[in-house]
Amino acid sequence: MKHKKNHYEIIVVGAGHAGIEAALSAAKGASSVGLITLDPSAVGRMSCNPAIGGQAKGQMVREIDVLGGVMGLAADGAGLQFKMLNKSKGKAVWSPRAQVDKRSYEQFVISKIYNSPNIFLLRGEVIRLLFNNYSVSGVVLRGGEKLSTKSVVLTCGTFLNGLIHIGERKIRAGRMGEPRSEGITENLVSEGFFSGRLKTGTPPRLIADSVDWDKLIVSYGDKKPTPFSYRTSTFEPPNVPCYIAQTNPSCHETINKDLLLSPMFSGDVSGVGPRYCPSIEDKVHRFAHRESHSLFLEPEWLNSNQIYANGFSTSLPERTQLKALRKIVGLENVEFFRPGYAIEYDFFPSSQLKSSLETKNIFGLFFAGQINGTSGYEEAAAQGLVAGINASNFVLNKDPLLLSRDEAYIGVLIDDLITKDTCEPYRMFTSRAEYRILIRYSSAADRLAKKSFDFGLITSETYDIITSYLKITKQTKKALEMSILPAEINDLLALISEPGLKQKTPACDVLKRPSINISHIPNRLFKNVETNGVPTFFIDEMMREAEISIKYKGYIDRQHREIKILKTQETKNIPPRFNYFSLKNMSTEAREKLSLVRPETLGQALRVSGVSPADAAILAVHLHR
Amino acid sequence: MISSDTIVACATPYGIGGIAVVRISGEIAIKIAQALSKKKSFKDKKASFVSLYSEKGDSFDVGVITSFHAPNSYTGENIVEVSCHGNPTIVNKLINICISLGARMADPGEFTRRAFINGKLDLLQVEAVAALIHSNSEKSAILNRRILSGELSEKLKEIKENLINALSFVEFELDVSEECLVEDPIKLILDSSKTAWVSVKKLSNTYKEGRLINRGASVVITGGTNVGKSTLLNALLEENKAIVSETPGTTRDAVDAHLIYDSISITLTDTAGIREARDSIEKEGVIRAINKVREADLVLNVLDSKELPRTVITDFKGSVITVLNKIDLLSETDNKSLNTYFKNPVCVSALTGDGIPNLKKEIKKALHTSDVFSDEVYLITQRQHAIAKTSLQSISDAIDKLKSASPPLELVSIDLRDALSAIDQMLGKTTSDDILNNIFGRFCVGK
Repeated sequence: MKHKKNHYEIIVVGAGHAGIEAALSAAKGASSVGLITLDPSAVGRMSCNPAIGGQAKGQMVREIDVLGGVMGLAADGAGLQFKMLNKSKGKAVWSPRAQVDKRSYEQFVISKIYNSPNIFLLRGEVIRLLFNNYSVSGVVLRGGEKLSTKSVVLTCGTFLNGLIHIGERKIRAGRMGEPRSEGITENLVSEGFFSGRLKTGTPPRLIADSVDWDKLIVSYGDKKPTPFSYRTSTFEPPNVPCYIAQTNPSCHETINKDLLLSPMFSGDVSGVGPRYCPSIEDKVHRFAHRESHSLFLEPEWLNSNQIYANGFSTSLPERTQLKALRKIVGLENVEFFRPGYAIEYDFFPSSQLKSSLETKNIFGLFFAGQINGTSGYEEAAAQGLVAGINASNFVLNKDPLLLSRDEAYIGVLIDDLITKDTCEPYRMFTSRAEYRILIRYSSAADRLAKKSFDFGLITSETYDIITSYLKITKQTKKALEMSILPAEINDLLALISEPGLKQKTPACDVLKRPSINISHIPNRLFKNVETNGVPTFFIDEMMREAEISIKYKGYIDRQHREIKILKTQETKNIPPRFNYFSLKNMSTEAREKLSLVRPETLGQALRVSGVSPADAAILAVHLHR
Repeated sequence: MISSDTIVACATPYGIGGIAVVRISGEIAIKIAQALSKKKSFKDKKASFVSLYSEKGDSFDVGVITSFHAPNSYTGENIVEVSCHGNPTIVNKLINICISLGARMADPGEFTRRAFINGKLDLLQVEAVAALIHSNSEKSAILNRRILSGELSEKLKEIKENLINALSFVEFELDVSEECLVEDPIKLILDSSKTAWVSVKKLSNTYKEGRLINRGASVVITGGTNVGKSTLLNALLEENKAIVSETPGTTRDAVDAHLIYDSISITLTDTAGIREARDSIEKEGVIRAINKVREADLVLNVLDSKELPRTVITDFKGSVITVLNKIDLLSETDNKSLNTYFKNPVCVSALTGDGIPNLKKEIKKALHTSDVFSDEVYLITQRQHAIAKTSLQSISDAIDKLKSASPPLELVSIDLRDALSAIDQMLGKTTSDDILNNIFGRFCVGK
């Protein structure tokens, strides 16, 4: 039985996707972690869409998994359908995605928290932090209770001064039906932090019984699904369908008529919303030439009567939402559980952070998730994990876990956060990663498992399992050095109108042909590949990794060379109090930006927006002196 | 280079002249002007007639001071231009006073470098400044003036836009296509890539002519000894520049002659005849000859039509015209059989002048210069040309992949980004944000 205390080594504020991963990874090093939430029954809640993964996000879930996080495992357990995205566009950018049962996802996550002996789940609202000599020393709860600590991870989501908009209605809340949190922003601003305002939105939740499903297009997941987690061994998820509906001109007309009632258009909302997740009124307005947009109707849990209307995010008045939806074929009689809404909240521009996610101003204070201006469960979880382990490393006086841009999407995420301006909620895209062909979802184990194990994030049992999977790739590569005889493969080649072999040829050379993949290579070659006890989906994945390493060799080698050249910049440190205004030949914009961002390394400085190559060259020469 | 120091240099050539201009750039330029002239203030871009004083306070000259206040000046810093009398003693004194007032002597090209660092000029414009100063034909001056005014930069920005467009379609497919579909994305990517390819190809092709306009063409006469190379030089120049004799090996070192030919500046070089040298001086001459030939834009490979060639250089970089000399010594039948040995030779007699007008026409054709100076911008440096070629290759790679059955778009993206970054080496930088911005502007993204 865990008893409440008044001191915790680490305190995590907020128990959403960032907070959970933060608490779990912090607890791997720290002896006590206080996880404070406004509502213990909302731990791990999926406040928006009932899905995990997707393009670029799926890769991050894999990375979180290898780094010992819970997100992938929970999604595997709660998945309703799994789909590999980008399958026709090149193996290096395949991205896994799953529709998830929100309720069982939450249950899975909560049980992880309860079963962790070092984590203490507390109900409360943190209104203030306590500081001592530029270090965080505790938190104050509403009601006045003080808890002391060595390190705090803030994961406040949309709760800081949250304000919900539905048409002209405004509700002070952190999520629909949940009170917001007040005090922390003001407290941090008085300590020298600067804050901003962002906005996000969510679509209405429909009543399944009111939808005419027969009129909609059905969409299933993959027949042979792949799990997110390497710790998943038995995997037989259901394949529950989603449905696609189409908006039409008459629906758009309804929206247009009431456009000015949307707070986005009336100017009522000061926060900036994400362009990649536009509200339906935004789509109708900005893309007036399009007659139709797709809506994806997704079940929120197995056999649920509550349906998520993906693509219809809105802050229009409730009656307009309903009126517009009812113009859509299949939704003529639709009713909803609750309307869509927009929410505004405080965030802290993340140039105030180091790459460990510790703030530059206050020792021991870490930020993760939407408070850093990101959007998405996966982005939040990734930051939570890094902030959590680094809070624990801070307490234990160990080096922080840092991930580079060529190592993980999480590295790209954090580096972008600390060097780029936040103009809208940040979402990960594969195009943000310059080394995306290296950081494949299927190479996560190879990239991160050792580091994860060294930092104590995964157990030796998990590490052994992952190592045995990686061995398959190694052995397959070896096997592909063997030669194939013309007789073994020419029939097959003829079948796919490929020229046959004239003499025996190394398998890897055959594999280099664009239309050949590993399934075309005779099985005989792989008889020494040890696959005992490895689930089929991982055997396939690991063998495909061998194929990628051969097919993409030229590009992969080149990227490794580029990385090597750039590494010297990444390791060139800039003194924290460096005076950029002394570099008179540097452009004024660059001087101002760099003084504000205070990059830790020359590599980061190069990526700060507004810094030109000429500016960077001046800085480089100066640092070299 | 890093500090905020103020630099000074004489902007006009050293020597005696009507006036000389000393230029000062940097934070304390105006202060120096004040100390020099004892005048309290200078209005931006206004000329003031002043006396110039030494540190001791005695007036040593009168002149005109014009000030340009930061950031609206050539370098983006405070600039002062002092016009004094064009006497080297006065100029030196003036510069020394500036130095004692806190300026330092500018490094060569430092004013322009500062203009570049402060974003006043891009790299292309910097190259054009240097070229404009050294222009030796009117065409060249016009061309460089146009590049300086940013025409080449504009052209490259256009190409960049096409590449960013193509990339946006690629990234859209890779990043958000599951949220809303585009019809036949591969065709869209291919179309934009091809447009970019055509523009880069066109631009790359301008280099040959751009370089000729800018630097002038180097035409080198080569061949064995005593085939009549020097006679040919004289015939083309219509004067006796090179010494001619019947003794083989008369020309020891290369002889350069300049001529403007259809508004193209040409350097015509006569070289030592290629043979086993008899002495060390001739040997050096032959080595120099071979080097000249390798650098040339056009080689006139002269052969004695009565004798078979002895030594022939084959690895020419530029184009080659085979010139058969001494046709005045040939019979009719000889003449016919020659044409079967060589492909399209130009037959001349340097001695009588027979065939020289025809040779001139061939030279012009080989140098590829059009009569009309078109509105095209030209690439003028080797650096620009090399970058254009790199970019072109990358776009070709992308197009090849796009033609396959299921194109690996992540690799197409790498190729197109390579092409883009090559263009950016000339211009500035593109970030992945530029591509994302384009995606958001163009597509309706998001479920």
